[in-house]
Amino acid sequence: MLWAAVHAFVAVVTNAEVVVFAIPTSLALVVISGAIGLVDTRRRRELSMLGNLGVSPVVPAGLWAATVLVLEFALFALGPAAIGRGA
Amino acid sequence: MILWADSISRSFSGRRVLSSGRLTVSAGEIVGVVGRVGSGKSTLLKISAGALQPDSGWVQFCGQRHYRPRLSSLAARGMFYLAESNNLVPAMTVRRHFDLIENRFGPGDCEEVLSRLSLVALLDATAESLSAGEVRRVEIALALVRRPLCLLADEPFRSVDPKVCQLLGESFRMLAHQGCAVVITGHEVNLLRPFLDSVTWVTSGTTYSLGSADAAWAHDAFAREYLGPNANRR
Repeated sequence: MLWAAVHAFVAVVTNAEVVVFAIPTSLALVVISGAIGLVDTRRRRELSMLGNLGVSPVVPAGLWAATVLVLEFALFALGPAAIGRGA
Repeated sequence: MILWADSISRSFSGRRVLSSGRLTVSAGEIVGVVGRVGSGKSTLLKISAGALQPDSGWVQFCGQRHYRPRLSSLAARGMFYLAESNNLVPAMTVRRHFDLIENRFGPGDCEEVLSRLSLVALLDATAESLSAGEVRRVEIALALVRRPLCLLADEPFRSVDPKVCQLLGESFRMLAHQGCAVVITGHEVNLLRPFLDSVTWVTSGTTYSLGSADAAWAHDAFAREYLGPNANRR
């Protein structure tokens, strides 16, 4: 959702249909997503339960980051040509 | 010995809370960690559970020594840690908590435990809607279903009525009978005493193993500095 919102926002600002970020920007988005995942897990007070289940706090952060990584990669691989006009 | 934490030190913002903490517990034993507020007993418990990193020292769990213990890795090997608060996910139902434990560690005596702790009616309630006593009952029920090798419970008797205290104490005793090593902290010393096999006193940044509860209560310095002059020492 957040990833889609970021892309939609940039698309609106730049007046583009599809936004494909440069690789450093995409990587920054992946790292930020991981950090947000960790903060969100803490906000939901899930860390203690996850710990007792034997799940490292890195896992939810990793899942957030991995989701964004896959979406960014898909967008990069398909490219604006396949979807529409890029920014 | 299931759990052995030794030479533990930890400072917060330059203030040394623990300088040489030690905690040992064997299978089937209930150890009480007691001490004044701010003495470092919760810190010692957190470090022993892997929920906090020590500045120095190590934690040995099931024969494996950890210099940087992590709750997730210790829990996978049989540790269960009940912090003072926030052990349950507020938005999740009680039933979901038990499902997660059973899915991860295999089925336990869920129905019997729920019945024993009078939790059946609360299964579809979310954790955030429970009272303090109900939360504590759910937490200990999760531990009973999990059947850990070692349970560390921080202040489990806080904010609960005497009847629930008794229920919790009996649950700790039941876990110990099953071979679980149990460590509990708390200030409700007279409530804790009947359930303890041994006492570890945390004071001035260090720990003293005082032996049985009777021996601890007869210990002059412990009685003078912690229990107070009017304490019932029998």
